[in-house]
Amino acid sequence: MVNGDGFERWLEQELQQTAREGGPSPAPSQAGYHAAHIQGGLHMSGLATAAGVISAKGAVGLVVAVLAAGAAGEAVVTGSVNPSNWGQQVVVQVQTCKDALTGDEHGIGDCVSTFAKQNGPAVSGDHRASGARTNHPSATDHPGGQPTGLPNATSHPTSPPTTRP
Amino acid sequence: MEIEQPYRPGDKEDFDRLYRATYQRIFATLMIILKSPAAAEDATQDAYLRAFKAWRTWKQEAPAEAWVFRIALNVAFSQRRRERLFEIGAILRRLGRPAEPDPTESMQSDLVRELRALPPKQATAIVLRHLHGFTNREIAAVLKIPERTVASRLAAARARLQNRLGDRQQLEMGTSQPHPVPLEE
Repeated sequence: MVNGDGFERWLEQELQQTAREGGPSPAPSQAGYHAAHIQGGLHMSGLATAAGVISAKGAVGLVVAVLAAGAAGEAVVTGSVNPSNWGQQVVVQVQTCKDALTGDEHGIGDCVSTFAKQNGPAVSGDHRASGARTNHPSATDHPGGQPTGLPNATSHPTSPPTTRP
Repeated sequence: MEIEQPYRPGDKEDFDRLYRATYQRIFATLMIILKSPAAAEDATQDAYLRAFKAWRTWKQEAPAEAWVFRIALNVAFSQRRRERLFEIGAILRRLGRPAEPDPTESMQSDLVRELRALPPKQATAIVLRHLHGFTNREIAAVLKIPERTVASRLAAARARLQNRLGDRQQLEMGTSQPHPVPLEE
């Protein structure tokens, strides 16, 4: 009968021996992350500072919200008014969060939520200021005709428009 | 006695310090889980790259060492799955012909070979416990699993290793019972 304690002691000795054969430890300056840092590949944008506590669904919603925000919001977040830039930034951020997923963790919500906290209000504020969400835009928003809050028939191709009281 | 400064999320110098403090242990762990030292080195570097990308999101209430370990193990488990798929593909391509000898195979100790034959999560529990001296609670924190699960993984892994390697351990430790020698008549 094998002694359990003896086996564990042997196990530890063998593992220590294997670990000693591992070779030298490279300095941080030789590490891949350091090279990427030097090249600027990991330059953290405001987006990359994301962290916190929302669910993965929230993260997806956040992406949608950011994508839906106006050019002002885009410029706030990414410093660019080019949608391809800010859209790409969001995609990069989501990927970064996915990369950082560890062990048995599920979802990227933790990672993305700080972004929501830090950038969401700014985006939301600018977006609101732009008047993009109002249901009653001013006449200057619709210079070509009378604005109406009611949807037209083409907005609901599968169902008839309803009338408001 | 020098007091260890706490890590600050996002700080490059602190990440360098974390790298120096953990590299050897993480590399040693991945070397046992993965197929070769080269694969372990690539995975270790990949893990630190991922960790560095997420360094600003690290929360100080969780130990940084456990956090980076978790990232590294996640990378290793993914790598192991890819290795398995590659091996299956190689078997299918060979179609019954004998496999090319793996030069790293003969350099592996029996223990390492058996550890690599274990499910990766069981092997990880063994390495964290018996190489790094983590307690069940610490292993549970690293892997984000209940302590009960750690205990059952350790028990299952030990039982299998003991079954496969017990004789060797007895010989090396000099604890084997001498085989009875029949008396000559």
